[in-house]
Amino acid sequence: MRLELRDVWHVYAPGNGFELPALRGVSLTVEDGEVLGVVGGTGSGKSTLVQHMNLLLAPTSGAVFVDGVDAGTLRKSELRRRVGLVFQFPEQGLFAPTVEEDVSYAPRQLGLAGDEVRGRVRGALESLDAAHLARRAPYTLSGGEKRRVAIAGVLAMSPEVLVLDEPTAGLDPVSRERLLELVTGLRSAGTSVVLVSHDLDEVAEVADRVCVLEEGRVRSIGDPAEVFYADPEVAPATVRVVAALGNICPGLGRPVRFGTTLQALRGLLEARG
Amino acid sequence: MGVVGPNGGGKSTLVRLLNGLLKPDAGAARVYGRNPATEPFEVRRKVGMLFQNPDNGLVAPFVEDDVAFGLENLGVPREEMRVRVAQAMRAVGLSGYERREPHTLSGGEKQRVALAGILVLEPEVLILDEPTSMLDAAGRREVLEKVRYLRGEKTILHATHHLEELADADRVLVLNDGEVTADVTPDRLFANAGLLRENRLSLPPVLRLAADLGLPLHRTPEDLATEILAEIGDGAGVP
Repeated sequence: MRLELRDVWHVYAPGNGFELPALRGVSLTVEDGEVLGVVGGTGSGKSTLVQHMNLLLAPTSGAVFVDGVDAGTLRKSELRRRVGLVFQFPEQGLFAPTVEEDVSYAPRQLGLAGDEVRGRVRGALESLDAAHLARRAPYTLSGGEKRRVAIAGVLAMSPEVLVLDEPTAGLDPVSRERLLELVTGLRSAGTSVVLVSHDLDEVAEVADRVCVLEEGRVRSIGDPAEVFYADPEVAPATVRVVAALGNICPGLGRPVRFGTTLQALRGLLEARG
Repeated sequence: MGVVGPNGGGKSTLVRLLNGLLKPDAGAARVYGRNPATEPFEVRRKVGMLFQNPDNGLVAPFVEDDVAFGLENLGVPREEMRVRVAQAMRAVGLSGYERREPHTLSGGEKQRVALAGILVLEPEVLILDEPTSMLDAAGRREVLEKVRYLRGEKTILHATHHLEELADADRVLVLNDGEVTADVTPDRLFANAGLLRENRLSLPPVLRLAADLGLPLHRTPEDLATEILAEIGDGAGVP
């Protein structure tokens, strides 16, 4: 699915003293099957932006298109099945007595047959390494486990676009890595992913394109190497190391991911050291 | 002292036992000789706790009221309250924010308001439970800078998933599966790949790059770049 935001503005509390324009004319696309990383400081509009992707928030002006069709004309239930949104700290929404029941809640609302629901729940839990938790009560789980279960609940809807708002905040490094593997796995299976994060290094690892938001506007968007090397101050640590080596070592290229950066630097040390 | 370990390892449980938010099933905690399970209020006057999400803790309409909240509960006279609130706000770099409304602040500012609300009670121990995990890079820097400033003045327990935040700690306690699996200096922890792996810890990218390249564990990208230049025999260095 191709998702497009065209000149989207969003003003909170218009017309009273608290009026706050959170988005000021954002245009971007989420291409079919890509991972789009969305970064930017606190208050830059990231969370407001992603809530427009399934029209949980309606634009004050501008519009959202799904495969060229104005999303406002689609049934909300269909839109939200196709665009799955995982909030920040989604574990706060766990409510059923067992993990299994919690994850099956959404697919049940779609009116699917029992077998189909069970299959999806199993699949979603497995892809998040959480199958062994199925019979547990959510409140007995650790923070990282709860997070994975909550994401499984959205994944069980089989969305075409999965929007993750700060999915790794508060997760330990291993859980974080697993989650990033899930993102790349979903992409190989054809699902588009929008990954919102404060952590530039993790965005660098998985994003096909990256969008930098600043004060409700798109500061830059495009290929991660282009975006980050043009603006090393808001780049991940790997890019900042290479950028600091700068013109002295032009042979390094513009690696972004950890692995390619390590390889390039190794090559440099071996050749000259 | 840093506290690290995987999710579910016991970090939050441990720190909550120290001010009586949780009670041990067996054994006992002692804080300045007092038992937090039976004397929580006495202990909490000595132990201040900063949580992950400042939004859950800010309650008053204006920043200064929020910072004063704890003192009001203790019945501190008005004049003294004014002085102490002003001091605490200065300590976190928020003088001038007295009449701001908490919801208009950035994440880093909110977390500093929450920190001021603790400092105003003049605790001897500060417990930080992942205080930066909801903040962006700028907010994280703001909070850590203020915490660093309190070093030497307060005993600080800092639970986090970000090892780089603990580079200057005296000790790091590693908790896994409810047990202390290590009690080491940060340098020893960072250099021990096996210990890191067993406890689901990983070095931040710059340290990891340095370790994988077999170079000293420099903390900033610029320092690592300088080291690399020295290695390849380019004495010019990085400007």
